Amino acid sequence: MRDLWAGLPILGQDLLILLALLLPVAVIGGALLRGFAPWPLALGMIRRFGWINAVFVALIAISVGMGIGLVAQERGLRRGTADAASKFDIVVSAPGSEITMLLAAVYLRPADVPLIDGATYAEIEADPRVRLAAPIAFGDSFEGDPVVGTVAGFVSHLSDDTVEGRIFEHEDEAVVGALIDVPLGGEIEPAHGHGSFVEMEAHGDFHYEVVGRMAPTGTPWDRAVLVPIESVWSVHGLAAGHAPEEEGHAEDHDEPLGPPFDPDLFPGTPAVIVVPETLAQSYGLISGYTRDAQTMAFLPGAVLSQLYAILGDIRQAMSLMSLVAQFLVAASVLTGLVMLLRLFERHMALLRALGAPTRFLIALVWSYGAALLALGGLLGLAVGWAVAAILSGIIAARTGVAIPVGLSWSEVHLVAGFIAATTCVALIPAWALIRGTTTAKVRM
Amino acid sequence: MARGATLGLRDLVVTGESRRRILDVPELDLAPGTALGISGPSGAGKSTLLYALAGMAAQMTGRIDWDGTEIVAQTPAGRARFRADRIGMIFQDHLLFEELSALGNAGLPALYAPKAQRRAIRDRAADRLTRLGIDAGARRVASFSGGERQRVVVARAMAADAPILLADEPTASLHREAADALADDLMAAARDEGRTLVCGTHDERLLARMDRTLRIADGRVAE
Repeated sequence: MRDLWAGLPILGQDLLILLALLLPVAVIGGALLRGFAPWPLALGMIRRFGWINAVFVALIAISVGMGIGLVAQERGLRRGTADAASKFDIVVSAPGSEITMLLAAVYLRPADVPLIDGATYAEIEADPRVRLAAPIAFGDSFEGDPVVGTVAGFVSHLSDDTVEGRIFEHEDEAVVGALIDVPLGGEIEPAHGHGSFVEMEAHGDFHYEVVGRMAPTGTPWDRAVLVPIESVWSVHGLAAGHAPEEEGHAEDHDEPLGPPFDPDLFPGTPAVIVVPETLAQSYGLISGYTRDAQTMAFLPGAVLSQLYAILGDIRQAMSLMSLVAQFLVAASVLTGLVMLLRLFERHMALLRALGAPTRFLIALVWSYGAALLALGGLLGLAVGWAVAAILSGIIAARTGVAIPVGLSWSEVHLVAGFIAATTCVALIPAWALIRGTTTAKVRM
Repeated sequence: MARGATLGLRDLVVTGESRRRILDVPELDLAPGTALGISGPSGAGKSTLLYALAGMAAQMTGRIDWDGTEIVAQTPAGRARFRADRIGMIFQDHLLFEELSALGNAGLPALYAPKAQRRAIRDRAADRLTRLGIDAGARRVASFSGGERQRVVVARAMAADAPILLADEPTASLHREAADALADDLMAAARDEGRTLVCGTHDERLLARMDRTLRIADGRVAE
């Protein structure tokens, strides 16, 4: 049986779970409605108090939607942050907090971190297992967005070689992320620092010319300005990483860019993004560059999964709270329905007097309540999607991490479970109302 | 369906709260197609007799035999089934489902009738509405006048083609002209198709058109 289940395609499993969740509704509905057609009356009851019913449906939709939206958003957040980190195979930095380093190097949340020296960088760069060792230097900004110094190889790695224009070839050239609002050929003047500590004019009148633009990556790097790391060093009055060329040789100021750097003239870099030749070498590289008091190396993916484990606990608590909230709303809506149904008492008595069977009356009241609950639940899916989309928009605007918005089977199952449970409970008020109805009421 | 039903009633006693006798009718027989008017002061027991005949009195003893079917001893569900099959009820306050059209209301019994009969019930309801001069269309009954509403109730009572019509003060909430028109409709329904009609009313003009009348005062047959 278990093998049979495991052998089913995922879609088949999800569909079967959905059907199993909806089975009680189908059984109750089938048993109550068999041979009857109460829909015109149920629709009439819904229209009779249209506004109140609309408020009931809206309450259910909002409570379901909030729960769905949070769950969907949490999953999207995990996927979005993981996608944003996918180009950052290994981060090597000076020892410290992995999370601080992860936030700084991958998500461009600036932090003061110690630097790696030139000798260490040269060693990483020369390691045969390493395909790309990209130093990244941050600290400057342009109109609030980070200016990141790095090497040309990292730009092509990050953008999968989809740069409009070209990658920088001189110290005063820059490649911008997709969301930086400066056209090709435009100028960028870097400011020292970030946020409220920006010092304009700190770098004299040095400016970059935009020569390329990366395609959107859905990462915070869409809001970054990528420049040669040599320029970051030199505007800060540091060595430029390379020995000055012999006088007279310079036809133009064709200063060398990128590796190899001269270890003695390498001012340091807060982090090196390492792409291994093969995936299997990752763990060897990590243990090789995890050295007390010198360097640490980590997989951003592994740090993220630790974070997700914590998030997962929070999500479970949130899911439970939203479930409780949904059932409270459903319970109060059902209570409201009972009061509303009192207004139909004489109509119920009339139906009895006309000879309608008890099962018909229960079917009528139940289908009225179930229609509101099901409609609320389905609208809740839409509200949930909207909530997730709005939250994603806010997060994308604040962090640059593109969060995929979408509903998955787990949300559909959640709504189906909600509808199934509440429509079962809806039998109680239906039964109570019918029991309280006698034909005597028709005489009033 | 056979037109008209025979009533054989014996020793009917209906008790109300705290076991007080509220109606006592020792004997009442009706031939098929008879129109019986029940008169008497308010609260004397006219409605109670009608509800007993429909099997809707909560506590009653004796025998009520419609065409050989005794209903006093039946369960509430059995009586409901009997009503659905055999009795058309007309109430004084013309209770309707406001959100439905005239046809929706008149064809109401189709909603819980066996599938095979639904179409016939709706057709009869539409036919009856046309004969009563009511537009069966999409207009909701909420906008209908009192006379129009009561005619929809008559159409509803006859949609299931019941051989028995029970009417409780059918003209009470209507002005004179509408009351006379409704009386015409009721009598036509009884006479033309031979239904057995029992009508509790204060309306002397309606009573005058009945085959027989029965006066009830203080829970007893007075004449």
